[in-house]
Amino acid sequence: MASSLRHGLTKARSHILSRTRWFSSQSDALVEAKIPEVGIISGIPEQHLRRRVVIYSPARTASQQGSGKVGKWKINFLSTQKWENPLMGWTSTGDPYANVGDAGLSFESEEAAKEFAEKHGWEYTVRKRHTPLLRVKSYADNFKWKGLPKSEE
Amino acid sequence: MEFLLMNHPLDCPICDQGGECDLQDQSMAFGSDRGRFTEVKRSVVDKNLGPLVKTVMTRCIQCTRCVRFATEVAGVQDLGMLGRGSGEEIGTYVEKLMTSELSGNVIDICPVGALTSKPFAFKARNWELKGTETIDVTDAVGSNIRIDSRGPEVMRIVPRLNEDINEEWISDKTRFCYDGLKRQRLNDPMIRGADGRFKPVIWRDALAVVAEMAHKVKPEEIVGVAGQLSDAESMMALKDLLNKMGSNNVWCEGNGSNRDADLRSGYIMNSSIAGLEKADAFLLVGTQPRVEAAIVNARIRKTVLAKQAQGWGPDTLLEIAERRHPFSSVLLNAKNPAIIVGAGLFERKDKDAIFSALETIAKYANAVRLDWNGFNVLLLKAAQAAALDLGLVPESENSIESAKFVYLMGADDVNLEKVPADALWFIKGIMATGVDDWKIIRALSEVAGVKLPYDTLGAIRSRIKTVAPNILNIDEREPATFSFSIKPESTKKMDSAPFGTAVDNFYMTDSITRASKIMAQCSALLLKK
Amino acid sequence: MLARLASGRLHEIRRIFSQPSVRSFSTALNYHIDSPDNNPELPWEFSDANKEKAKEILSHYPSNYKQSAVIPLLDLAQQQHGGWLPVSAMNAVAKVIEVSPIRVYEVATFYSMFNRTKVGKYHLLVCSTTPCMIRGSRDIESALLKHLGVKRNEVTKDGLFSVGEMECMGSCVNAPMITVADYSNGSEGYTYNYYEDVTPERVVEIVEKLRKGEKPPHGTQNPKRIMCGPEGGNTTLLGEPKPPPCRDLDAC
Repeated sequence: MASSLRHGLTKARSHILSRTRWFSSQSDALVEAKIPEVGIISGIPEQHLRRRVVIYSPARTASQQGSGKVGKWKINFLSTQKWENPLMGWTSTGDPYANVGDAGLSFESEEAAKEFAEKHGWEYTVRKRHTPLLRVKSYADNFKWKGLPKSEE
Repeated sequence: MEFLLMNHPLDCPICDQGGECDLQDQSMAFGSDRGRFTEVKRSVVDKNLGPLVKTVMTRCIQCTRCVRFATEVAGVQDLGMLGRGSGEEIGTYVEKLMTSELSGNVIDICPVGALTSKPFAFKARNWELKGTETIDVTDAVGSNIRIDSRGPEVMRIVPRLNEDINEEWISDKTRFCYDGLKRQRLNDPMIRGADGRFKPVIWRDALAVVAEMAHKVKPEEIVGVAGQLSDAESMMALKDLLNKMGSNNVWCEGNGSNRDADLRSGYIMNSSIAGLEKADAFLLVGTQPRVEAAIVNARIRKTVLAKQAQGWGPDTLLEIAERRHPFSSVLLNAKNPAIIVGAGLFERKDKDAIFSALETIAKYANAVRLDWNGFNVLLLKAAQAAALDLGLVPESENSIESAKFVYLMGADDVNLEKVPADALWFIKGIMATGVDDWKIIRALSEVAGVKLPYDTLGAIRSRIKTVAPNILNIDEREPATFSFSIKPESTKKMDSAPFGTAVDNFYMTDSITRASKIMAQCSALLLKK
Repeated sequence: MLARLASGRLHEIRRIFSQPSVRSFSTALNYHIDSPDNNPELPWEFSDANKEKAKEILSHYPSNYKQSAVIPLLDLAQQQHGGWLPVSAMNAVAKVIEVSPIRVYEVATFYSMFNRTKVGKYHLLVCSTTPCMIRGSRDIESALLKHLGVKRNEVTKDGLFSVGEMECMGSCVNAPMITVADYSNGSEGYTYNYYEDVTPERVVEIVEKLRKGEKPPHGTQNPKRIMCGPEGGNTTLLGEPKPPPCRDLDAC
């Protein structure tokens, strides 16, 4: 999904980039109008152009796994339209974006995710990323001199 | 790797940790694809740690993280390393259940599948789950959690790191209350018929009946109570609706008749939860952090070197306020004294007197300065702070006694004995039909002819922005600007009745946890002790 | 070919493990099972004399490091309780040194000289480390077990004897050896004696003497040896050693 989206994105870019570049090269002060250009060009239905999304960086798993995959940024579409399909008991959804964000979209930085959302015309809120506070600890501290013995009562 | 796997069973396919196991990852990355160990693997007897933690001790690799967690964070020295050599095992020696409110965290701490979640056992694989990062509502701490769901069903709750609030721990109630979400749900609106039975009706009829009732009574006889799990949007809508109908008697349960919502410092944790670590003396008044906010208790424990005193009754408090108690000198000598007041005191009649005594203490102990605000209120319920921020305070203290129409928005714990018998009720169960509360209120307002001016979440949030902009700053702590020092002194006398406990049963505090089977098991064990 | 090799290896492994003497170091499991004579409800306290002793032991350590006294106190408790530590004794020790009971259980389960199940009044410990084993400690153990009619770590019916196993006790020069921990007179009369250079016949004699209440002389049981000296007297180093040549120490 992501690759096809990205693929579409690069295509759309090649269509539009020449125009926007021309604008910005005229003057730096000129502010680019935030048109959801990619969305319009790729024919995404109107109701999906103005989605509310959350940009967030998934927390480290609660179990003790390594932190190799921590720090990526994701877009979540706040999709709640799902139900258990009575036929097989699987989950159906009425939202084509339901599984796109978490499964398909992954960004290296917050800025990249924001840029992507802007391009698609999504209204986004960014959630802060929580990082662990590393305190310097030493095993030797366990055996440190903890002061004089308390006086006998 | 080979040594670690020597005595580790090859049961990843039937292990609940499979897929999120550190040892599995490590052996995938560094392990050999065949072992040279031909001897017999050892086996270890499983331990019974209670209804929450499942043990498969043969999988244990003796990392002792659970022992360290129990000793250093949870503060219950139950677990230990027994025996030596190849017979070494983790255990409690005597059969003993873990009596900590934080015991569920050993599930996360365990790098292998030796300690796993009992309610979650064999329910789902972690790669089938979709995580939704959110905030816990079972207490007023607001622990950061991730709710893992498979399809429409919540499968488990795990903590999420936030150094300012819960670090990386959550309480057992937070972690295991989720099965309460699946039971005793109200799916359709119901109206009590003439025969006293509830009859399901469609929303249109239900709202029409309610609107009709609301118009039958005088505006000041209308009372609204928001439940402890209400969201800010719904509380805003409730207040707006009642105001439009001419009543201002709306509050959140747990806040009691507290009408001081003017000064934010009067009801929030001023020094912040993480800030408690800087404190060097604690005065806990009318609160038991262990059951009211287990995560805060862990923080307080972290600063164990600090001296603690717990005021058992108002007399002790008065003694400290008048500097007659030995603890006053401790407070005086402390650099950063912290006073933590339980929100259970909000329900007391002599609340003002207690708070003025606390202010005296805070003043002489110099607990409120520019660089340190050690005056803290430990709230009990998730909705309390937002309700006060939004100004959900009753106009008169005795409004419930003259109420004719009571809108209970998921409020299950309100003392309704004082409501007159001829009152018309509108009780709405929590999490009604998967419909947001604010949507119901919005619909009701239209039926009742007092249409509220918002119909999207965005619109209701911009309404909140005009009342309490701080609520919309997600993930940020909004410190209070003014301290209580500008408040007039109260002259009321303190009642000598003891403070009592605000939470009797840690495991059952709201409608979700009361519906939960796991919480019921836990509280049964709690009662047995 | 490979299959035959594998099955041969498997057979070998089976043979090793089917041997009767699978070694067990400790006298008990690493977890506690309640029994009428061993459960946390039973009261247990140091005797008055031992309370004084415990105080003396605690005085060796700084008062904020009381937990350092855990091993000597457990030893004292074990002597008082006839050679073994019920769970209530460990709880009592935990109370004295002001730690939680699990910290004491950890120590008591770690050291195999703390017995957590009942032992005889005379607990016989056979050394089974290499030098003793080469000199026939297995025969000594089987002689003891056969004579007393018990299994390892089992107590005889009269409650007098039990046989355990021990790792090297440092008497390799007098191998094989057994140790007799005598708990018959509580902590006052407690002795822990080595009987060295034993033979299967000699250990049975020692057991019989102990049964009669005698105290057989400890140390080497070989009449031809003096302590750890060679059998039949010294053969070398008979005279005074000569001073080193070329050095006049007095001149220094």
